[in-house]
Amino acid sequence: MKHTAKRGAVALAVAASVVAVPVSAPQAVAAPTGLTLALLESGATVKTVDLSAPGIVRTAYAGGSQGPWIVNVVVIDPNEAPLALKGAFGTGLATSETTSAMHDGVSVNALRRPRVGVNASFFDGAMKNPGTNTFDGDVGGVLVSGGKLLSEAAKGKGAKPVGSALVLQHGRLYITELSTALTVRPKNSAVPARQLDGINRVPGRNAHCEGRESGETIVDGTCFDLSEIISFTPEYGGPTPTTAYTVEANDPDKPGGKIQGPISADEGIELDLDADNVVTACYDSAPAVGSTCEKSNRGGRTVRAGHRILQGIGDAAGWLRTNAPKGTGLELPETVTDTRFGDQLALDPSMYVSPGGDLLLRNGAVSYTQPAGTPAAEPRTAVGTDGFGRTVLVTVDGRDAVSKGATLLELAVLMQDLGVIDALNMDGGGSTTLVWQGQVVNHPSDGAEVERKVADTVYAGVGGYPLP
Amino acid sequence: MKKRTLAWIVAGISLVTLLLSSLAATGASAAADWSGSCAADRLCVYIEANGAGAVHTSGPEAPVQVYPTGWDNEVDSVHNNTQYWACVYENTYYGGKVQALRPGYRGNLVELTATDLNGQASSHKLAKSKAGCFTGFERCANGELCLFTEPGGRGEMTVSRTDDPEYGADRNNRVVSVANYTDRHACFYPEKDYTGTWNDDGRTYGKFVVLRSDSTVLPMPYTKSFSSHRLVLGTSLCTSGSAS
Repeated sequence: MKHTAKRGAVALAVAASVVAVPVSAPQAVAAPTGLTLALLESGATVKTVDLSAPGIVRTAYAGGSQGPWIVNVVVIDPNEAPLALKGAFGTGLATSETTSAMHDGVSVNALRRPRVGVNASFFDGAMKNPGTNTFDGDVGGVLVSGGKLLSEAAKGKGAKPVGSALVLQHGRLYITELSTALTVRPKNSAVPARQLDGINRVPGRNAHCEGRESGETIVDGTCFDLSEIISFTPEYGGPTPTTAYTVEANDPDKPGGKIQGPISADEGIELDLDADNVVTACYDSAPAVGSTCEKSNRGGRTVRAGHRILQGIGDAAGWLRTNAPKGTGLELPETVTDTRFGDQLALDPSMYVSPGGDLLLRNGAVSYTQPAGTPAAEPRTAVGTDGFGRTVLVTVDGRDAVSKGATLLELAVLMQDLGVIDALNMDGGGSTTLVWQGQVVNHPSDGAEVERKVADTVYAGVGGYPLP
Repeated sequence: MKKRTLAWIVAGISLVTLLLSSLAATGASAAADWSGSCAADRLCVYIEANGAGAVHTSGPEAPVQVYPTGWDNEVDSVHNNTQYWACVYENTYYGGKVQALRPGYRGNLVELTATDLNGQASSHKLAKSKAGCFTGFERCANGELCLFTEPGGRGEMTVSRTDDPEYGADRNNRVVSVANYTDRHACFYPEKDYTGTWNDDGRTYGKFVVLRSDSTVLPMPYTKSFSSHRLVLGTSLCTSGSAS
């Protein structure tokens, strides 16, 4: 034996205190709560520091002199242990899953599952597939995994033209804004390229746009464009959507919440493309005389490995009927642009990108501007990097008698006080979840602390491991 | 080994610049005495304090992993006139201590006492975020297995695209972190020809695995102990010895 080490000296400093948290009725606070790090660390606060996962420090606060709040702060140092910073969306983008289920799905070996992670992107939680009785969880912006673009960009929060995103690569986190440019056209043809409107989502509905493109209507931040081409990849992980999909309120904290707009009833057209983007099959609800398409409604088909499916509705279906008959080779160029620096993002297999919400901190300064009106104090999830390049995950529980939640400005200042340099707000409310070594350790606000199914997770996983 | 060096224009040291250096060392205000001129979107490093003396400029496309003679351990002041973070390192190949300088920073390294890199810097780059200063894994291209002599993909890097049954002196027992950006999993061994074992907390192991697309530091007892590696489609193929 060449090399010998004695472990067993892993520091373990877990406070003896156990924080008992009663289940209580949701109690949203529609005003600033006063949360600061100083207040959180004062008064009858129980502060628990857990060093049981090498390279990671989890500090849990419960209390606060003007609280109470329950806050978890996780600092991940990839130089201290074999840790990989990654993301996952579970079995497919066609459905949402709990953060802990997505962590369990990373490896069949429990020892190689994520050490810690949080819920990540905002998503469309209202689009229901009646066939599976699940909600599809379309992510609200750019998602990249396995070297592939799996979701198109969304417009940004507030006045920002494009949405923010977490870029996880090379063991570090980078927060930026990303736009996408997607088109489709026949190969070797003079036919002008047409916009490809989206990837892996229900055509006609974009739940996280905050602006208006030509031909769109917009209701409460959801865009409706009844003329679209949508691409589906194998990562969709389920049958392509049909016109039987419905929009239903799906926020347990807001029963009877607002139902946003219609979805397209156009059966349209669906094309199956092989690995060379040649149309190998087509299904047309209204085939013209001489069409090579099978008469069939769109939807209900699974994308085969290496293939992709295009769905078209409205005028866009007509474009596909004219320009993409069976046997046609298509070009589908796609670019992702880092609009902060004006360069293109190389979609490396080692990269995971998850879309976020409001930018909280940039280069150490608070970037978030609180809009007019009374800000809402909610459960929050934030992700950032500190002055040593370490990744910081923060959850603030809320809508509960034992934790007031936080406004976005309070969250930004808290992150700054924690030494964070760049920080992004991720999906919050009932979605806020922190999974620590396989267990949910925050207090989700849905029902009796029910863990919500979300779109994806970012986590610190195992970077390397020994084998006998 | 990847080595990206630039053509540098090295100027002689004058009595005037020596004087400026002396002033900086005594805490003179860089803002008041700054004499250098740095174009927009450029990182400028100067031989002397307060932007004086010979200057080298570069952009994000041209990191400097090795300062040439005349510049190595000679840089005293920096103007980061870009929207990137400037990352200045104590050693070549992004090694040793790190000093991250925010977009727009202009000043003397002697004033940054936490790192004390005045006249001690040996490499630099521009990064899109401060966190980007703490990793060097981005040097590893798709298709490459990259081995580094420091944590976080920093320090000297050697590259492999195939199995290596016997490491040369440049990597043998020197690997501290790994980026596996190949399309296969990497199995590392403590001896040549894919052999040897480690004793880790009373258990015996014969391989250390880094899955494809992962990058990681190596813990004890695996750090600075690799002597051969295989690239495999599945970790069940991480066999020891000559059979593969």
